[in-house]
Amino acid sequence: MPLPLEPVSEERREEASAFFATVHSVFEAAAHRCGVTTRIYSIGGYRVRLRFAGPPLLHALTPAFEHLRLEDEAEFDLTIGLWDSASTGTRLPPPPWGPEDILTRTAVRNYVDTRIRVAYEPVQTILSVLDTDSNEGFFWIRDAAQLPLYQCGSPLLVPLHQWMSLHGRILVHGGAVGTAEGGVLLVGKGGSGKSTAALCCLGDPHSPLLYAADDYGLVRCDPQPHFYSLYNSGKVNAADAHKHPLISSAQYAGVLDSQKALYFLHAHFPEKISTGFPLRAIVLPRVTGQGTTRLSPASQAQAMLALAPSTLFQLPGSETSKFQGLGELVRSLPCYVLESGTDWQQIPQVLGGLVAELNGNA
Amino acid sequence: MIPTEAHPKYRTSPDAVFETFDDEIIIINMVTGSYYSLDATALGIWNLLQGQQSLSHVVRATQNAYQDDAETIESTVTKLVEELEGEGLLVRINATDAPVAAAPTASAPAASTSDDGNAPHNGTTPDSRPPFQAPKLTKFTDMQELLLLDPIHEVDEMGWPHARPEGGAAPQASAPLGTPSAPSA
Repeated sequence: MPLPLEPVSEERREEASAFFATVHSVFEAAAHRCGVTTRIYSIGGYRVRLRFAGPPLLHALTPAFEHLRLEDEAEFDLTIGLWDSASTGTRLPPPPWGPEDILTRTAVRNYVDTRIRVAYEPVQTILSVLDTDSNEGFFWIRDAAQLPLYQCGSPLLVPLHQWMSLHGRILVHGGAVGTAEGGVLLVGKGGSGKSTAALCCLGDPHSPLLYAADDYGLVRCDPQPHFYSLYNSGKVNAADAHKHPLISSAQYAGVLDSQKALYFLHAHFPEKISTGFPLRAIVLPRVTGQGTTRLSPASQAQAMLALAPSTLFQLPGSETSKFQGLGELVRSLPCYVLESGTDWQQIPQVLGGLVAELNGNA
Repeated sequence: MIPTEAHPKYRTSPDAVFETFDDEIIIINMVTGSYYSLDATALGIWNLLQGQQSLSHVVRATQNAYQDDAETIESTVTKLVEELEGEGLLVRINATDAPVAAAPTASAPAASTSDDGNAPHNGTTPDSRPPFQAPKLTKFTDMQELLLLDPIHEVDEMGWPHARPEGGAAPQASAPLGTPSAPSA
């Protein structure tokens, strides 16, 4: 998807507004027919209200957010309505775009970095649409029974990224562990060991480190770097299940296409799940195959290489500002390589020592 | 050999974003999915180009900043710039282009080349200039697959653009929550 995209014409903007209004009206019809269940969550420090028309998506998409749930439903910064056609008996008319307008990473031409933002997944027909002026959005799937498991583990990833990017938050591809006083951001592309490191900390009953993420989270740079947990889901390779005995003993929600088991960790280990903390360092896990786990200094450029590409390329829109924000984050924190040895029990010890040292110096 | 047009100027491609750290720069091409790191020598050259200096000026400034054969530096710098242009990270500024403000070089390291390019070593005092090390551009392509786009040609019976999953099989819903199946090893 080229930068910059061609400017959107007034005709297309009016078309987008009309489409949003259509989506809104169909949701309200579904809500009227099936009733609405409301949930409010603290996401990125903002109050996000989810309105579910009918139960299927409520059951599928809320477990990942459960650790962020608020009981007070008085105010909210963002509202998203969610429903499916199959269970609500509603029909959403086709969109004003065609196959030729579908870009990479669920983006749609004329709906990137504009007032009305869209994410569209064309295999299961999953749509999210967001009005960044009214702070209202919708999530629709034709049939909730066809919802892929990865959506349950990381629900509303793109619309939250689209909204948060306008409100001082960067959705990053990374894990995070720490204490209430502060923690570290674990960065690297898939397979680098982020999930392993994060889950090792959660699974160690002697470690003071809390689990905030293993794959995605929100970061704020100003006034001080801060990590906000987004999902309490975790993923364990079947081949590595024996290395996470505490986690593997829990009931998992399903098996992803990557053959990883998906867990909703808050349901099993609520005392070990964090909603976020100040960030003290960036850590690059690296599997060494050696016996000992240790830390070594990493350059800021190394950290940027580990963090930025997978963060930018997974989520559409706001690339330039996001890249600059990631650069600001990297320049503001010390960076380390976690050389992960074969004895995984050392990982929480080494990370715990780093967190304690950095929190003590803060 | 500097291109026939001896004074081409360049600017960052609209497809690229970059950030500078200490003595290294990270650049991402958002169209191709490739990303790059440039070492300190290459960073100095990049900074001069961002300052709207002509290629000939950049060559001269680099020759003045380092000990080495002038011809070697010229060919190396020219090759780097051609490589950056070939990777879609730089574009030439045409004479008819609207004036472009020089890109800010926030957090840029101290320039390893002098800006005026007019202070050659005079040969009468010990040469304290560092030896020239060929600039290094490292390219990473492991993220390109995330930007691969399978063209979608179909519209389903309800009028929605539709794509089949990889392998052409009909979409399969994953096991619903609450009914786990054993993960395969």
